[in-house]
Amino acid sequence: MPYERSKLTRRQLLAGAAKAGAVLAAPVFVPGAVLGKDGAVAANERVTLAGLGIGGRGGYDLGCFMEEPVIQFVAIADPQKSRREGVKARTEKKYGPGVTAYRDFREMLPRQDIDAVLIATGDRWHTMASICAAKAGKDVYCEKPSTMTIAESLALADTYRRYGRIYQAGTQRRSISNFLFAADLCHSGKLGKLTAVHANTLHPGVTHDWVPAELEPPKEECDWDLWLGPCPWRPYNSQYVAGRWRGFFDFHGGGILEWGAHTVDLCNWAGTNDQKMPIHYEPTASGCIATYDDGLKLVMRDDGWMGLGTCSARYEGEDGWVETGDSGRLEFSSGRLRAEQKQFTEVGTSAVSHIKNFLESIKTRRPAHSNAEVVARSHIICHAAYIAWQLGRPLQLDPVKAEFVGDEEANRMRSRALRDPWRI
Amino acid sequence: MPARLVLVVTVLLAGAVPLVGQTVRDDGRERVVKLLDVLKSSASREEKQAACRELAIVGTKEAVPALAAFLADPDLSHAARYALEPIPDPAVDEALRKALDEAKGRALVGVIGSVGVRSDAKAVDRLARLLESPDHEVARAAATALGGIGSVEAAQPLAAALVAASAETRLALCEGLFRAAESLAAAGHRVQALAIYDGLLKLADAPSQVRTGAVRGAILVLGKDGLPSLRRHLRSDDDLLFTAAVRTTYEMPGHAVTALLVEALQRTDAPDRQVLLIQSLASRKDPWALSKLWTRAMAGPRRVRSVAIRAVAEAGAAAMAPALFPLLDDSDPDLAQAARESLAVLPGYLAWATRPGLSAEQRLAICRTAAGMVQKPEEKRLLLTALGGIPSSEAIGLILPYVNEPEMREEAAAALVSVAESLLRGQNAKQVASGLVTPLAEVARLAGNAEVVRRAKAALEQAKNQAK
Repeated sequence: MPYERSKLTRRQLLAGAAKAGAVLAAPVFVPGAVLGKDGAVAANERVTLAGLGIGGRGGYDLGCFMEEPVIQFVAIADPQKSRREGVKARTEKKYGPGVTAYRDFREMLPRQDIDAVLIATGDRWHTMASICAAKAGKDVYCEKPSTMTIAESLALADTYRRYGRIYQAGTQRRSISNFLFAADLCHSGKLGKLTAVHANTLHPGVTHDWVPAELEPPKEECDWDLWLGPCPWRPYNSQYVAGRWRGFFDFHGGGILEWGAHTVDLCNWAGTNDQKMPIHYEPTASGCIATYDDGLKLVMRDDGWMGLGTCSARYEGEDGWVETGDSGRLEFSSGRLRAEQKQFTEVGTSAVSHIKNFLESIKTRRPAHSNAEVVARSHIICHAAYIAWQLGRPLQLDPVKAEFVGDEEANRMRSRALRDPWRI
Repeated sequence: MPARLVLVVTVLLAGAVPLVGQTVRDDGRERVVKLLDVLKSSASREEKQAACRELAIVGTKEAVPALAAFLADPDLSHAARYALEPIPDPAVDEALRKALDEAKGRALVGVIGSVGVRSDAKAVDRLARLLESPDHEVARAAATALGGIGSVEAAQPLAAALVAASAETRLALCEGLFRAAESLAAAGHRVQALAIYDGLLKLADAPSQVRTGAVRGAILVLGKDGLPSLRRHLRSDDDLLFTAAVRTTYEMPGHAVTALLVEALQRTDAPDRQVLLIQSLASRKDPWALSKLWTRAMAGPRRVRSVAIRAVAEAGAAAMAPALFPLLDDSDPDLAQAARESLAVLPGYLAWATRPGLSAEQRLAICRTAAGMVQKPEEKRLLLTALGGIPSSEAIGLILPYVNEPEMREEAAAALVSVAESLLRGQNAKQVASGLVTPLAEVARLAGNAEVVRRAKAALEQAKNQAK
C-alpha cells in the first residue's frame, strides 16, 4: 500500500496544501504497478537505510522507519560496540542476517547501496555526520539539533543545496496536527497581525568542567577519539558515552537550543513562514527576546507556560492568541478560535508523519518539512540568542550574512575550531 | 522527552557554574597576559585548554606567538587553533602558514583546516603542494582549504589534481571545486565558475551527487542566462541530469522557468518524468501552468493523473474545481479519492455541492467527503442545504446525525423532510420507503418548526403506506 494513502483530516489536507506538496504529492513510483509478489515492496522501490549513532531517541526513530514497508535497513555505525551490536541484532530480526556493523562511519558511507542515513548521535556530531553523508551522496534524517554554531548552520544549508540531497531534521512537531493547526491560525490570519511568538526553551547555562578521568576502554569497545569527533579532547568517562553529555559546552548547544531547535523553529515558521530571522537579540535572565525587522517579537523563555506539555509554543496576534504543547491540547483567547479546533490524534513526540514526509521527499526530491534551509535559520536564531545571553548584552544580527553588527566578540563566537581531522 | 529527564536536564543546566561567557569581560590586555602565562606554565592540559578557549574570545595579536608554539603539538594543537582561528589579525595567518611546514599528521590536517576557514589566499601555493601528499587525509584537507579560499588561483591546482586523482581524494577535490565555484560566482566571476561546473559535469564516472551539483551550479550561476542550460538538461536523455534540472527549478522563480517546465511536460511521454515536472509546476501555483499541466496529465497513465489531481489542491486552484467533478465518479477508486481530497481543500469547495450543473451523484460525492471535515456551523448549514437537494437514501443517512445536534436541528429537519418527500415522489418510492420511517419519526418528534413537523408527519404516513 502506498504510504501516502492514509486518511487525512481537512486540517492536514490544508496544511499539506500550504507546504511544498509534502502531504498531497504522490511519490514518483506509485505502488500498484510496482508492488512485488505478496504485496512486498519491489526491490527497486526500496529505500536502503543505514544508521549512525542510534541510542535512545534514535532507537525510537528506527522503530518508526522499520514500520515503513519501503525501508530495508542494511548497516549501523557506532563507536560503541554494545550499541552497534544491539542495533544489528534488532534489525536483523526483521531484515534477516547481513546488517553490517561498523565502528567507523567513514567505512560505511562510501557504500553505493545505501540511499539514506538515520543520524542520532549526540548533538556534537550532527552537523559533521550530516555533511559527510551528503558528500557521500546520501539523504539524511538527523535528530535535532542540527547544528552547534552559526557557522555549522550555514555550512549545513550550503552542503545540502550544493549536492541536491534531502535533509530532514528530527523536528517532528512540524508534522504534528496540533502544531500544524496553531501555525495555520497564524498563516491564515485568524490571529490578526502577529505581535509576538513565544518559544519554550530551557535555561541556557552549561559547564566546561571535566568529569574525572576513567580508564579508556579498548578502541573496539568504545572508540573514544571517534566519539569525541570534532570536539576538544577531554579524558574518557563512561558518563558521557552512557548519554549524560548534555550540559557540557563542548557537546551541547545549551538550553535555548535544546528545546529551541523545536520551538524556536515552530515560532519562526508560524511567525514568518521561515522567511526571516530576527535582527535584534535582548538577553534575559534565562532566555532572550528577539525582534524581527517588522517589530514581531520572538520570546524565548523557560517559564510562565500554561502546562500544555513540553516544547510549548504560543502565538499572539491583535485578534487573539493560541498556545499548545506536546500534550496535543490547545488553549485559545476566545471561543471563536476554539471553534476552529478539531480532535487531533498524534502527540508532539510522534515522528511517524515526519518520517513519512522524509521518505516521500527521497522519492520526489522535493524539500522535506524540516529541510536544511529552514532549520539553518531557526538554529541561527537559537545560537544568536545564546551568544547574546553569554555576553550579557543586546546584539544586532545582519540576517543576510548571519553576522553580528559591530561586535567582534560576538562574531568570534559564531564558530568553534574543529578538532582534527574534522572539518566542514 | 520524559518529564523526569526534563527535570534532570533543567537542574543540570541551571546549576552549571561558572556559566559560559562570564569570564569574557575582564579587561583585555591584562587578561590576555594572564592566560598566556598559563600556556607557558606547567599547568594541566585542562587548564591550558581552558585558557585557549578564553583566548578565542579575548585573544589579540599579542597572543599569537605563544599559541603558535603549540600548533605542531599533538596534544594542544587543536586548543591552539581553537584560540587562533577567530582572532582577526594577519599574524594568525602567518603563524598558520609557517605551521604548514612544521606540523605533521593530524596536527597538520588541523592546521590546514584552519587555513581554509580563514581563507588565507597567501597559503595557496603551500596548499597546492599538499594536494600531492601521500597522506590522503592531508591531501583532502588541502582540497577543502583551497575551495574555502575560492580564488581563481586556488581553483587551478584543484582542477589540475582532479585529472589524475585517486579514489581517496577525488570527492574532496570535487568539493573544493564546488566551493571555489560558489566563491567565484559570488564575486561575479561567472565565466570561471561555469568552467568549473562544466568540468565537473564532464568528469568521467562522477558520482551522482557531483553531477547533480554541477547541473545545478551551471544553471544557477548564469542567472536568467541559464535558461538555455535548463532547457537542455530538461531535454536530456540522462535521468539524473533531468532530475537535477527539475530540482533546480525549485530555486528559480519566474514565468520563464514555468514555461520551460510546461514545454518539457509537453515533450515527454515518460511517466516518471511527467510526475516530477507536474510536482514542480504545482509548487509554482501558476494558473496558466495548471491548465497546461492538466490537459497533458489527463491523457497520461493513472499515476500521472493522480499526481495532477493532487497538484490542483497544492496550487489552491479553485478555478480548476469543475475539472475535478467528473473524477468524483471515476471507476478507479484511487483517482476518485484523490479528486475528493483535492476538492476538499480548495477554497469554497462545499459551495460546489449546491450548484446546478452537477449531477446528484457528483454533489453527493462532494458532500460525502465534506461530511467528515465540516466543523463550523456555517459549513454544516451549507452541507445540509446541499444534502437537502439530493434525492438519495445516503443523503438521509448523512443528514440524520445533525437532527440530534440542537444547533443544527431545524436545518437538518428541513433538509431531511425535503429529501424524503423527493424520494417518495420518485420511481423507487416503494423500495426506499421503509428506510425513511425511522428518520421521519425522529424529525416529527424533535423538530420545533410546526410546518416542518406537519410535513414530516405527512411524509411518515406516506412512507408507512408505501412500505406495506
